[in-house]
Amino acid sequence: MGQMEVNAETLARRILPLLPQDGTPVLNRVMRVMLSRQLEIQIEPDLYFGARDLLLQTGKIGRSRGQSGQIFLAALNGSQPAAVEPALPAEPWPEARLMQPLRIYLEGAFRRGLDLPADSTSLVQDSSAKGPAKGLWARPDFILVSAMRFKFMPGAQVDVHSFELKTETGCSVLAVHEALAQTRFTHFGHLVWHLPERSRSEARLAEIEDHCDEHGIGLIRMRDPLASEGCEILADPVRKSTLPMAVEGFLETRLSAVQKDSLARVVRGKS
Amino acid sequence: MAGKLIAVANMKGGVGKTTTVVSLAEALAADDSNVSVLVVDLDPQASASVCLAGDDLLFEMIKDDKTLDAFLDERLIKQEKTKLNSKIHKAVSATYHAGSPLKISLLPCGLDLRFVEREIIYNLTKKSFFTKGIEGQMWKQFNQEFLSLGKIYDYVIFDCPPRISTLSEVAIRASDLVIIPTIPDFISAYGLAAFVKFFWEKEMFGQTPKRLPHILITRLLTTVRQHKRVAARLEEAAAKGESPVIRLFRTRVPQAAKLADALSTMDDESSFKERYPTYSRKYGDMTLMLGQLAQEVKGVLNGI
Repeated sequence: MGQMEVNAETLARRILPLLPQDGTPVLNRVMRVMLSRQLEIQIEPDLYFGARDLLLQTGKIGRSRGQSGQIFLAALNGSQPAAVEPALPAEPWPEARLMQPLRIYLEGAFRRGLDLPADSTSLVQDSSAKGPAKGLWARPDFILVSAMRFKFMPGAQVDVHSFELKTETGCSVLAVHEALAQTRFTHFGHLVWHLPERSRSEARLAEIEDHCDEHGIGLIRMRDPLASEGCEILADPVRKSTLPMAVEGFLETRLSAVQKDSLARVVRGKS
Repeated sequence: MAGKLIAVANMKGGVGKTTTVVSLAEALAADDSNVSVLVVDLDPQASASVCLAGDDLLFEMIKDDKTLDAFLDERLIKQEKTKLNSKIHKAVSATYHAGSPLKISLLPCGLDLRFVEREIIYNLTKKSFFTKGIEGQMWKQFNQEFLSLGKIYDYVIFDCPPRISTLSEVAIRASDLVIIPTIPDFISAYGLAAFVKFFWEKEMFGQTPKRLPHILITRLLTTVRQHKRVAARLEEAAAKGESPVIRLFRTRVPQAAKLADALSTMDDESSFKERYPTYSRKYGDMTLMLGQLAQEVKGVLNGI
């Protein structure tokens, strides 16, 4: 391809096919290099950001801010990314991008699987950035708290699940122990592993599953973050006899006032 | 200002020619964002080409006949009016620095160069050209096409193969500066004198290289006594003006994993960031050394 004149519109058309179809974000500076190499001209920042803004305005791409900024192919209907080419060798999903699919799963299929009574309550909280800054393995990525009262027995039951999320290449036996360590504050520990079909990391699956079984940690395999049925429970967790005082202190620091009030109302039978 | 032609050559293989070409091209481009650099790969192994373009882009260029061997084939064998500039991939660099991709272009080489060179010699021999005539044809092409690239690019860097091909011989003799990367060990230094004598004492079309040979010590291991001794011996020879007369760069290129990694960041397993690194991330603690080398090369070319 030889020298050519490009404007924001033509450049915008070039950006879209270069973005990964699975929605993996690409740094703005990386996209500029990719465009320069493809078009064989230096892409100046004003031209690039003009093209990017056109795509943002039309909703074809999304952006994430931060160091350098990133863009990604936008979802077509707000929940699913644009047409996914199956079996394409995709870029590994970073943990930050897996958080939202995991939240959707926990609030949907996982919660339904708990089969909670109608007068119960449950909440899902991103706890990855909450808790002591220096606490080792004290910040599960998500917690799910359920509260219910019994029909005949007095009192209430509160269950706290912790979820440790790992990327395709970031999971090892150590992650099982990380999930196990988090059960010093919770009742159920789960390891959630983004492990697509035919992933090279599948070689570690059997060993990790064995360790989960041995330590009573749940193992959830996230095969496809984009699919509604993309998660599969491979191992069920065993309820830990964590001291109520430890659980209480944990919830005190991880939940908002509204969430605590909601839980308290169910526990006290006021809902 | 006319662009400068730099040939990086040594008959011995494995001395760091490609590493020198790629890292020097990036260092010159990073040193001044207004500078444009063209790398011309004269080695059929295409090492510099794959380092700069990566597998996929190089495959596309070879498929589209955007290579040096395709140019020579079309121009000298098929007698077409192909322009060399049409074979250059502009803005090839995947490395980013100070807000923009590095301004590096590439004239890649494919594996066919060795066959094309043979074919050219065969065709010219059929036309009753003698060796001098064949060399003359190459010299003419070089003057017509390569020298004019100096009007477009600030620096044109030739990655010569570890042998003396007709084309690399012309590039060495016509360049403004010849850099000879050399490992400071007995074997590498052994062939240096013969290489220097061949080019600097034997004329081709009444021409020897424009400047004295500049030795660049590469893959230096300061913990190896032989390396220190040979480096000291080269320094002494350069200082005393012993025959064959050489110049020695003050910059020493160490044996460093970071340099090896820098040339192999475009594999399929790497992330987007790793495939399109920033210059400082790519070279890490080697950036200071490369900056010094770029300054030194500029100093030599500007007669400082």
